[in-house]
Amino acid sequence: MRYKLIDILVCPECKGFPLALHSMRKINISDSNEFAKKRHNRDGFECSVFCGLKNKSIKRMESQRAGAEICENCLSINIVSGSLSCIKCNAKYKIERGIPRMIPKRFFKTHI
Amino acid sequence: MQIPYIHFLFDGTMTEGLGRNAKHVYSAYRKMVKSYEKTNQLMTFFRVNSWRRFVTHKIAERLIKDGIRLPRVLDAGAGPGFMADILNKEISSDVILMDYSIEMLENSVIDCDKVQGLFEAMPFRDGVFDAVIAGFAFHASIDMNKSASEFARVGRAYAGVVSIGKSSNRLYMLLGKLYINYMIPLIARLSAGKNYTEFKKIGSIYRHIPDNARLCMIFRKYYHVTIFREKAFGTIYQITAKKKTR
Ligand SMILES: [Zn+2]
Ligand SMILES: [Zn+2]
Repeated sequence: MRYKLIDILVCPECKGFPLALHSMRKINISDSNEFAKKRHNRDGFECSVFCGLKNKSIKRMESQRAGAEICENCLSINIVSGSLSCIKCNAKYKIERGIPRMIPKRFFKTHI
Repeated sequence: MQIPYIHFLFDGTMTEGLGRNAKHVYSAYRKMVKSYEKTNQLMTFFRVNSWRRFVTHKIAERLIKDGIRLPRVLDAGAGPGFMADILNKEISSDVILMDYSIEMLENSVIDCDKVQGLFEAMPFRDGVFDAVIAGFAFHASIDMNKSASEFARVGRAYAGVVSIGKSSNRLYMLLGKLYINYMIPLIARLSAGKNYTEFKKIGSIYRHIPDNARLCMIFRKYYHVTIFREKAFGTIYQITAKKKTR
């Protein structure tokens, strides 16, 4: 997953946002990847509410005028492994082989 | 008599969907990865892509009409991402694939962000997607009412669904049942080899889904349904819809 996903991911259990990102391995996506180049570019920021790479809300970044070009990397850095945790309910979700595993625990027990 | 597609949740509410049967169906999907699309093609007489394209085309039309540059689209229950791939060819989109099966996601046909997740508890903020699309996935929902409400929560505007359905017409319903229970295992034997038994579980899906009229009502709770089409004796339905504004 690219950093940009942090801007939209919530805890599936309690919808807590933003999720905290921990210990990880990252790689740069090559320029040939079309999705590394796709951008929304809302006022120079790639993220719209919370930037995972800068670990700051966009509002705060705007008020500090901390560079738009840094947020650009949210498209081109891939998080390969690590974990996400919910500050609200303490649930933890692994990121393995680039895919965040966002299944609430209660479903494992009861349905799948 | 118990109606198979209605089950009770822990809080006592009644809903449609696979419920606890999802366990068997989901384990089947994970084993189908390699033969999935080949079997899809065979058992739909090579119409599966045109059925997908009809829906993605309608969604693309709406997004273009709205003048959204680079729409953000969720392919829910994406499998290897066929719906997203077809849509992305028509309108350049920022697509995200979500599926329960990691095996399917890792064999994706499109190189984009992927998330393991469930319809019933989507891990996304409210209204972040311009459109939510789902190809041959909604029938595997555990709880269809919750799923539809989650589609409407994470989506800002449009939804496009093509899925296995069940005609409300008794005769068609029976024909569908015969085809799914007897023909599909035969076809799967050709394309999936020893894994063909996994495709028998489509029979279990067919048993547990509500009929198409009821299905449409579930969507109408959250969406204005703009197109509702049935194909192949109602064993397939296509929906395009716009979210109701509260
Ligand atoms: Zn950012
Ligand atoms: Zn939480």
